[in-house]
Amino acid sequence: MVVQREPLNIKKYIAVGLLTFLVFSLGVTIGLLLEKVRYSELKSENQLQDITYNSLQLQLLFLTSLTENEESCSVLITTLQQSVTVLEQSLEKLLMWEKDATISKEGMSLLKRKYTLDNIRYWLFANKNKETCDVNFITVLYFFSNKNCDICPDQGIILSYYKEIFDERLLIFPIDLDLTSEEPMIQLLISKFNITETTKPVLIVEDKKYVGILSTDELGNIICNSFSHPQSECEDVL
Amino acid sequence: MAYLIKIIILCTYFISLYFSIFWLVTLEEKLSKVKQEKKNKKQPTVYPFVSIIIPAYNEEDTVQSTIASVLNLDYPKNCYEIIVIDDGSTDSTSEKIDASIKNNSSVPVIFKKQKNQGKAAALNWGLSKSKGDFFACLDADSVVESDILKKMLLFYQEHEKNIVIVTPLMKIVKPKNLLQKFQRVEYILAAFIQRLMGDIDCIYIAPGPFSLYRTKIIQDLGGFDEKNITEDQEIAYRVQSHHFKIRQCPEAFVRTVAPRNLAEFYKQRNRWFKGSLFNLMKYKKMFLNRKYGDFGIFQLPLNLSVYLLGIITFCFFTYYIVKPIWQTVYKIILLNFDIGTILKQFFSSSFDILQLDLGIMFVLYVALSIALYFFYVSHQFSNEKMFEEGVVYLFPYFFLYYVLLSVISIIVLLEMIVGKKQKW
Repeated sequence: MVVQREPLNIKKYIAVGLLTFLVFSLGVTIGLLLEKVRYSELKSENQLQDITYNSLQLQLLFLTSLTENEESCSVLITTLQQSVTVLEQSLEKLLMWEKDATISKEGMSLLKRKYTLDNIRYWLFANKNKETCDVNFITVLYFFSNKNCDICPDQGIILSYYKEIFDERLLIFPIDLDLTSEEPMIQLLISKFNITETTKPVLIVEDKKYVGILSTDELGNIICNSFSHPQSECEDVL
Repeated sequence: MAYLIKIIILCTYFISLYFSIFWLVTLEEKLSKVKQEKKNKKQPTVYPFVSIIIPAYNEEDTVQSTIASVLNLDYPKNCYEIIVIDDGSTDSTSEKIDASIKNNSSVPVIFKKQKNQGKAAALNWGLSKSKGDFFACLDADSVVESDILKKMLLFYQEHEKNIVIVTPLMKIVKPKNLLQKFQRVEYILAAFIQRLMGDIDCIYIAPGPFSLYRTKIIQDLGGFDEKNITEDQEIAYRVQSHHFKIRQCPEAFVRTVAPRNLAEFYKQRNRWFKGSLFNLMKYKKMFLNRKYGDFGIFQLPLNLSVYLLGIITFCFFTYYIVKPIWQTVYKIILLNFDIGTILKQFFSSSFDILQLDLGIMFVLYVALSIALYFFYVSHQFSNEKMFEEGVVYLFPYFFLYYVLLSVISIIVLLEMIVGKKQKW
């Protein structure tokens, strides 16, 4: 018996290919639109940060000109604490979205640099604020790297844990050391705190420097001992 | 590296989507034909002689039901014979076969006990004794409906002359556990896809439960390959390589027992996957060869991509499920088991829709919608209720069952790399 197959329906293969391409392109377009929306959101959040920072500066200037400033200090501190928390959240989002970014990768990188600068100026501001107001928060400057530091994520987990416990009383300012070559300000901090390639991560809790990873217990002790007023949470930590 | 992973992910989605849309387009092309075929109430005009070959190996629990279903076929008793081969069973299969055929006088039965030589050898022996123009192979763990032979022969009479194998629509005997429920859905979907495959000459397997063959042509093609661990697939590949046709008769039902536990399931799928790879290698000349139509251009690349997709599914599962689980466990240890704070931290993080990868989700949504549409149509086609076994098990079916299969495919590939020998 001589048998033959039906000829191949090439048109069907092409039609299916086109349909697949259409659906796929739609998916890719949605992805790109989403990236743009993410970028815009980060930018507008950053603009808001700038305005808040200007406001804080003005508030501090105003307070230093007064003799009775206790009540006004509480407004300043609350604004600062909230603002730093928002800054942390925005930076977290930025780091997450930056990995998936394609069209706005460059913009995201610039934004990351901007957020790092914001962190540094907020850290300076928070320290300056201590001279004028009686504050109940502590500051942690956290130097980390994503490229040459396997244990840095662990330190990040422990810091987030204490952030959850102490909330706005613990102000964390993360500084990405991978941006050193792009941002001279980071270089200045590196020189000031004498940070080298082998000493990562580095924590500056208040004014004290801690090199290498700090365990949950060690960091808990350091944080609790740094508060000027006793904290109820420290009863569990210490 | 990150870019490479991204490209692999995008290619995987694209290929999966292409296959899904291909089946959807085929379905739309053939839907009216499928509906029409289901209404066929005619009877065959002639009753050719048929040999039913039942190879059995350690099937003491089911072989009697299998033989009983064949003895009770609604088909002239003088027009078929039964050939039972006990392929060296170590249990009481032989005694059970003896008991089943002892009181039968209406249908001629040949019963042979032999040393274990494998299913293909048993089938070849049966084929050599076969007197029928057609022969059916029936696994000893399956039961047929009484009108199956009439329906399948009518199908032969009403369709093209160069059909060499007609397969039935396989269903699972009432599932008793979750694994069998998964397999029930899988069989319903697979049966429907096989129906569509038949229309574009892409059927690549003649299932053990009651595939009906033209005896002369199969004998001319050399019978079953005794060295092959999936002889039912190999014979289909060989038939396709000679451009003969294989069709599914959607009205002919056969029920088979699905593996009851993971060990049985693993053994079965391991053999299927390995056999499938062996056959792909054996018939590589057909791969992407236009001479073999859709079978060469579409079906064989699809069969191969199942393994590639299996590996990628496994990697995704590890990355998106196992890795976060491990990270959470690690975090709990790192934070001195303060689960209360960790939970608080988890619930205090607000949900942001922008965190979702909506672009990829859109592609997945389209692919899942096609899968659900097929799920619906295939149940209608098989006269099965969609939610007969409940709804809850469907979620793990769609999201975990294929991960389980992907794990088995990875093991198979590893075993093949280290050269582990496979027995039937």
